[in-house]
Amino acid sequence: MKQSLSCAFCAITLTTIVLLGILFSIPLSAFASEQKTPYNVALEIIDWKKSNVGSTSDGYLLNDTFLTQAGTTPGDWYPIGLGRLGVKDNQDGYLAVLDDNVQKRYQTSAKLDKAKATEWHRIALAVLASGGNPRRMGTNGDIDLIADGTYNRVDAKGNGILGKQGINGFIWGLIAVDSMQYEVPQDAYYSRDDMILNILNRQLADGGWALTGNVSDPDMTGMAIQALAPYYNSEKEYTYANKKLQADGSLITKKVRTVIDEAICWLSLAQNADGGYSSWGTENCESAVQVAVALCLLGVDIFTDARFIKDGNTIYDAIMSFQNADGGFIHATVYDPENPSSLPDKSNTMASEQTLYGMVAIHRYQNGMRRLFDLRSEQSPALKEQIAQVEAQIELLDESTSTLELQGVYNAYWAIPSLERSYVNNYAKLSQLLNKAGITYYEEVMDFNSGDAGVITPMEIFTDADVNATNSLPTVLTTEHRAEVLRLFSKISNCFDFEGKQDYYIKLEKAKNAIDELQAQIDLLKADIKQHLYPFDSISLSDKKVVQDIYNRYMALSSYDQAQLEASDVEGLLKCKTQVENLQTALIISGVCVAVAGVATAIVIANVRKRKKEKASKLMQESDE
Amino acid sequence: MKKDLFAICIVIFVLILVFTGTKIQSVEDYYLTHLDDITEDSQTVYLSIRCDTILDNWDKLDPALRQEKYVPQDGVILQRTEYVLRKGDTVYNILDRAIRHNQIQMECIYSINYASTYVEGINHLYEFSCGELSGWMFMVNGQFPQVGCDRYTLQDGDEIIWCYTCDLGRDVGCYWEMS
Repeated sequence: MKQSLSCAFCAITLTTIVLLGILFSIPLSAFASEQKTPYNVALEIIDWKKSNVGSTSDGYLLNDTFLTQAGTTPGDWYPIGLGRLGVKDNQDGYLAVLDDNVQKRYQTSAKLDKAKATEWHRIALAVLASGGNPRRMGTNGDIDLIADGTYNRVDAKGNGILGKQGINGFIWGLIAVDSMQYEVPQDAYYSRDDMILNILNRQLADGGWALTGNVSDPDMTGMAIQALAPYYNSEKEYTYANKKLQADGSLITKKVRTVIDEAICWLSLAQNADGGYSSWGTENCESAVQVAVALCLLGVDIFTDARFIKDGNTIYDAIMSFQNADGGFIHATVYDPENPSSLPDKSNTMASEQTLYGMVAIHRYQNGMRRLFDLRSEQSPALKEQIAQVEAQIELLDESTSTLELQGVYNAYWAIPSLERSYVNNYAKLSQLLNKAGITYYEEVMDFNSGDAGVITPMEIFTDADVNATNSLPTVLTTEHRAEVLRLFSKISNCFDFEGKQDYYIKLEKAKNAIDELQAQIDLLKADIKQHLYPFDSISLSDKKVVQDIYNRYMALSSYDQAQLEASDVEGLLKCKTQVENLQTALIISGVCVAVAGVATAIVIANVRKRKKEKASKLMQESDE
Repeated sequence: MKKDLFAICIVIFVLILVFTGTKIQSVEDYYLTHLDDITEDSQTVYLSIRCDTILDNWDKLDPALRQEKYVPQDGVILQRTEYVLRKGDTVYNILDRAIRHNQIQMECIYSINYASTYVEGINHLYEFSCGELSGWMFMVNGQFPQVGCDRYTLQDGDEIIWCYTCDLGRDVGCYWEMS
């Protein structure tokens, strides 16, 4: 996507205007108006993805093809983007399939994953964004993704394993518990502060974060800030050891705000001249998106903040340079012949899904909505107005402001409900002035313990369309119907009573069980092929029964279900079947041959005997004579 | 006498036929059951699967996996083995054939959205089984291609090594270019 900056003259003019803009603090948003709005870009990404999964522009993105991915990284970030943008799609269907998948995965010993706590975090966010409740998953509502995936994330021996995959476990764990400001019980394995400390103590000397090594990375720095952002106004001091900062392990004391400010300095320095960011040596779309999300969550305006404009280019400019004509986004513009998944001309799912929620984060910031990962219901207009007034008052303060006036503004800040104070974007300035003036301020701890924010799934109406859909289900089901059946079953389990409800309930429950049973058969078939049909050299006639049985089970499946097997499963099966059949034929031929040989031998023996007899009788006759 | 000789000849021929095990197969059947036989004309590649880095990071390894059946003493899960290269074969196809033939456990996820396969675990060793920077990587002719294993098409004579890293590739010779 090349913008109209292709001519050098334009570029120079625009740069000059932007620089003037910074000098005279003119809001620069005006210059961005020629660009598409984040909202429209988000819609374009959704449209691209729809065509990518075989849907139409006015159809659902979360169609049956898409829903086969529910509960995986590529399957959950789009629903998060859709929900936070406020786009109505097939969220009911998605939740029904996701719920069923989670329930099945919970039946294994690893539950959602042995090592990755982020599986719980991503799914919890996706459930919330789609209107569900991650604390009441499963048919009985006894699966709590928040507790299991965050503060009580322990192994069988009771050891904490939230950080088994590294810093990501703590970052996303904190984002998940803060998504609804869930209460962390006193006896939980991890407290909120444990998660915060585990992010703080991994900060690098240059100010940011990285998965490994001593050089910060924009993606990890962005994500760490996203988790810490709600604590920017917290006055709590943390004392901890960080060997990257103090090699001897001596303790340091910092507020979250200080740490975030250091990270912002690094992000500002690390920004490229075109406004973008490089990670692992390549300038790419996702890095710029992660930084943009972090800044939006902090209330930093990426269009006007001078720290994030380089040569007149904003992060937004850099992100938009990765958009393709089809609406999707590409990972990087550098052509890498070894990496066909990131061809510059082909839109990439990971780049697009991250840009989608990046656009949503910018859109929400620009429209005074809640932060991307704060999924509580939106603030009331009165509350917004109260916060805006306090921000305006803080804006007017300076070092000459009287103590009395400072105290007044601080009281106004304090009058905002504690769970909402993190939305005052310029509190840091007030805090500094209070400090200088020697006014005592509360050691406010942003301990969001409001408890379960109370998601209630409203009762629904089982519509005529749902009745028709139920009636038109075929009598012989395949796994192709899974998403539809789960959606209808979930709906009928939670709808108002109506004439004949019980019949439809029974029919759908039967359909759901039949599909579960079918899926179990397919999984067993795959396992049996792997277990019994290899190595191929060892297949003998004694395996005939096993091979024939597996083959019959395969042939009994519908063609849709047969396609669930890997190509090598089918090849292995056909190979073995051919082998045993050929061995069987060979055996029959051998049998016939042996029989022929036996008959021939018998004839020869008989002939020999006959001749001997004749000879003997001849001799007898001769001797008689 | 002549008839007998003829009969004896038949018997000998038939018995030779049975004991040498000559199979009677159609051309298609022969082709299918001999797909992976190495002949003089076959193109081939080499595959090995190793986890030696775990031996140096034993303390980080998930205690449940500290057994020889998961981590062999020499760190070799599959010795360097020659496999027939079929037209269009990717690194994934060869790995898949090898783990099936040797009955080695493997788990991977294919994503239709990413159109790519990611190998999560081989021989019960998974990503993050040995520390937060651990997981499976593959090398072709000494290089680490930055592409999914089912996107890398192989050529005659390629040398594939699947290696378990405990340090995001650095302990197996993969150095990422840092800015």
